Amino acid sequence: MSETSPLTPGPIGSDHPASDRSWRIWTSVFIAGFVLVSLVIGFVILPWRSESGVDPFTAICRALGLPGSEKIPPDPGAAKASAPASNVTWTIETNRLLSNASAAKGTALAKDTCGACHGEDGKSTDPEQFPNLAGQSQAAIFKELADFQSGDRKSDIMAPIAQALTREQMADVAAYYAAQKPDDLRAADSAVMLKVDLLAREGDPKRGIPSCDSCHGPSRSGPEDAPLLLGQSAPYIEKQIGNFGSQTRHNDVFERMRTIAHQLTPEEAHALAIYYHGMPASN
Amino acid sequence: MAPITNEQELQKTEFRWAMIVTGAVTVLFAVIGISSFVMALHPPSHVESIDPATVSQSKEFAESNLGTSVDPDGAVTVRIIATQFAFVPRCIPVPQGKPVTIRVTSPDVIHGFLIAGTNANTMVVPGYVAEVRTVFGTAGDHLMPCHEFCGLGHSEMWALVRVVPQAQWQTDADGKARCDISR
Amino acid sequence: MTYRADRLILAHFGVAFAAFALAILLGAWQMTVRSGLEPAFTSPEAYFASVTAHGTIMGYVMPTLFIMGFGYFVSVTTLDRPLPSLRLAWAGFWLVIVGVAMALPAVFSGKATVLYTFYPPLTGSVFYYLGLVLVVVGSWFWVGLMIWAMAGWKKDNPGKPVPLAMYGNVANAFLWLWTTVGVAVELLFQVIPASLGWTQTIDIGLARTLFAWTLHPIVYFWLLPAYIVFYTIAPRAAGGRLYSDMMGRLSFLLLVLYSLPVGMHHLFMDPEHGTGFKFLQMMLTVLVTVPTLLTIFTIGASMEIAGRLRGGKGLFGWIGALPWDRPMVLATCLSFVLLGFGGFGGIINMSYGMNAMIHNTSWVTAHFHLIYGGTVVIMYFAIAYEFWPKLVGREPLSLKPIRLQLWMWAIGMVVTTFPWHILGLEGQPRRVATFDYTNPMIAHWQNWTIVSMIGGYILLTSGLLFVWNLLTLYRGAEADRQMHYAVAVYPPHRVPSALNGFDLCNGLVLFLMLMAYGYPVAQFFFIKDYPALVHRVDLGN
Repeated sequence: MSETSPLTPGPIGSDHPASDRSWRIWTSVFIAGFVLVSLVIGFVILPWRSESGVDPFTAICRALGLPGSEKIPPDPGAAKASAPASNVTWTIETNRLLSNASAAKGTALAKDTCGACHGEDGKSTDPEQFPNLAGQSQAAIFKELADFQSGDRKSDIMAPIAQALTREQMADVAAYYAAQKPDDLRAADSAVMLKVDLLAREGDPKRGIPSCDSCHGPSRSGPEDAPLLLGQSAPYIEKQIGNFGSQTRHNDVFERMRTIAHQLTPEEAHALAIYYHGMPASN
Repeated sequence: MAPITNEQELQKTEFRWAMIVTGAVTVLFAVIGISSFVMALHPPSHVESIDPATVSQSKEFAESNLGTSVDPDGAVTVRIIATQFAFVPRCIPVPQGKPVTIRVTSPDVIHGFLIAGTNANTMVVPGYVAEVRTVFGTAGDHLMPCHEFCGLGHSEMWALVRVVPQAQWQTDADGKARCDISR
Repeated sequence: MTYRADRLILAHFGVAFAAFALAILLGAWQMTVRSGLEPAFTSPEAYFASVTAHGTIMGYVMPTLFIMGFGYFVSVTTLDRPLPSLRLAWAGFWLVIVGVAMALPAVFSGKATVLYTFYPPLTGSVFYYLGLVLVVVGSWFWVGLMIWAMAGWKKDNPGKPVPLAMYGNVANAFLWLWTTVGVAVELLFQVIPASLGWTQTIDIGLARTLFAWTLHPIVYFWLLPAYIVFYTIAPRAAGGRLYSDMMGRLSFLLLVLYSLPVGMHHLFMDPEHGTGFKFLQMMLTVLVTVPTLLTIFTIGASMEIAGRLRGGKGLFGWIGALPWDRPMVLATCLSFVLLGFGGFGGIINMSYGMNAMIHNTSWVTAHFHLIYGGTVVIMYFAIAYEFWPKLVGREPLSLKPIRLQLWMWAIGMVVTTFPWHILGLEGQPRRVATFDYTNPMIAHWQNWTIVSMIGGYILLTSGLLFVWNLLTLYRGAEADRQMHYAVAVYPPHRVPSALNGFDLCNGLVLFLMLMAYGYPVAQFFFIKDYPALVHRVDLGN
């Protein structure tokens, strides 16, 4: 190998404009041809092969995935489908209703109606029966009110109250309570057995139970309507877990809580309730 | 390889290699083509849309209609909801050796699942019904984990597919089959 | 070499590797969590925030900064002229830094736990997305400077072939420009408006398609500097010459062309596309193996030349004659081997049918860690070992710790990713923090996961040794600051304009992108589809 060997001009490396043009033409022809062949195979030959008796037009529609090009199997079960667990849906309209709500308008309602039990400032007069609402998520309060109204969540006390409200009023009063300042608490992790502490924060892959915090904790990322739990009274939380587990309460869409509560032991439910009851943050 | 004597020699070698590359790529096309079409897989590609916001109100994905149902004509359909952070239902019985159509959608965020030891695999994208058609060969329990990050509870989101031998396959009067994950 | 931009380049490399060191630490911790060993700070919040940070740094921050610095170095050393504007280059750098300073705090505070793929409707803090946008915009400054630098040189040197390294460098600039279009559109028109609360819903099918547009070619953006070095530095380091300059140009061009219209192979299992375009993009994906096969041949032949020049005889004797003590030669070889493993996994991934076995399993993680960590990053190490002495004017004290570091990295990669392949075939999903290893169905997964965790710690050790090697460099002897590139056996005098510029290349890319993505993107504007409600992950306090 020598650096001074004669450089013979070849098809590549020449400076003929002709070779330049042929480069452009042949690369373009190759690529266009390749795309064309792939399109014919992908849109005509393969769909046609997978089901004989399909005309090319239907085959192309199917390969494009145009809706309606494939038949959807009949669904005899749909006729006798059960009623939804809750009629609240998370749509643009619901979002708009909540974001347009006015906490100021909710004040009067909170004072006149809700305050007697839940407290005007959202701190319940009897937390074992009536949940604290201060700082609760607006979406959660709204959803429960709507479910009391529709009867998807049963309560002799709440049903008539909720039935008297418009959707706007529910959103307003939810905004009002969401804006109230809750007590400064933290989870009572030293008060309960270690296992439940892990269940609340890490979950249990063995039983398919996600951490309670993933939906109910400060950095929650689960369903919109999941309430915050910290600061509710322990007996109240325990009762709700029990109600979900026994299917007495069933306004959780797609059985999200019923499935989990059903798997918790009574001891775990009790300990979790204490954990989320919380303790003063300064402690 | 002989020492290179001139540039044309070099180009000849390159040309020979280009032929080898073409051959290798052709083999690749063949392998992929055969594996895709002889195995006759049906990736979820029929673009069926559904409003994710109102899935909970739909008839097809109503709570009572989820799970495995056998139609009067014998067709087996499994309807599943993938939601934060669970599959509904969590235990899915299917008959061994029969074609099964799985229809699944999400009311909230992107999920996905695979059924371990099978080639059933799909993304579950809110706004679409994903449909997977497959036949389960081996009887027994198969893990069905969610395989796309869907939030903090993602790791605990899994279901169980129970492949039941035909002899033991049972449905109730409505054509529904159920199973339970023991505690 | 009269013109320099040493401080600029060192700033890019320095931040890139500092971020990298943090990210491998997170990676090793994540593997410990996955192994079920319950290390400190275990919780879903910490795990997924860590995965987000690891992916964001490794995917967006480290390679972007490294490639910018690499490009500036190649530009001044090959063209032997200053950068068109040092001020704009610094402006780009500071934009990236501001972007990182916005994005990472959002991630570490748990306000942007959406993973680096940020699949909507999960939506985090707007600072995360704005930070990423700034990183991309900063890198566009680099793109502009590289194109400008080459154009200026060509004007002053009419008809002369652009130096091969610079040609590859500008190829990468154009590739990056095309690549970022998808994610930029997704972020600016879908995700950021949602994150700011201006829109309530996101069209998920469209968002996934736009992200797939970016997600595949971004890998080739990371990869191209490695290829540039294979062609223009490694043959010289081995003591030989580049077999063919033209093959290099052709490979760079084909990499740009075929890495772009293929991203939908990430969406094979998605319900929002029909089979037709999935098939087309799979066919195009196969073609992307061509430039890699060409490269393997050309570099193999170049190495053979070097081996024979050093007295190697017989069919394989030249291999032993290569100077294996030189980090560049060693890294090139290790990179090729790992590329082979990673490429094999990739062929399964891109196969329309076989993909169903392993889609979104650990197999996929194994594949892209082999390509990214094994092929790309090991060459980034070699590049740093090559460039750093030129930048600071110091020789390494010893090559031994450098070779040890490279070997540890390659071994760590194999130990980490081989178990993932096995686990992937058995159906272990990726992106999961904790498994129930008491379940007899998956109990045996734990041993393999622990093996891969050990690999993770080997990688961590190697990464820290890399940083140490760079730091000890400052105590070395004075070094020659002149950069030399490999010369081709037959240096080209003229090359076809198609291989000396990017007009034809960009025209063909435009055609291919229209064919591959025209309908798949357009369909979302006329089929009846439903957007999904934005789902915030940053509600907490």
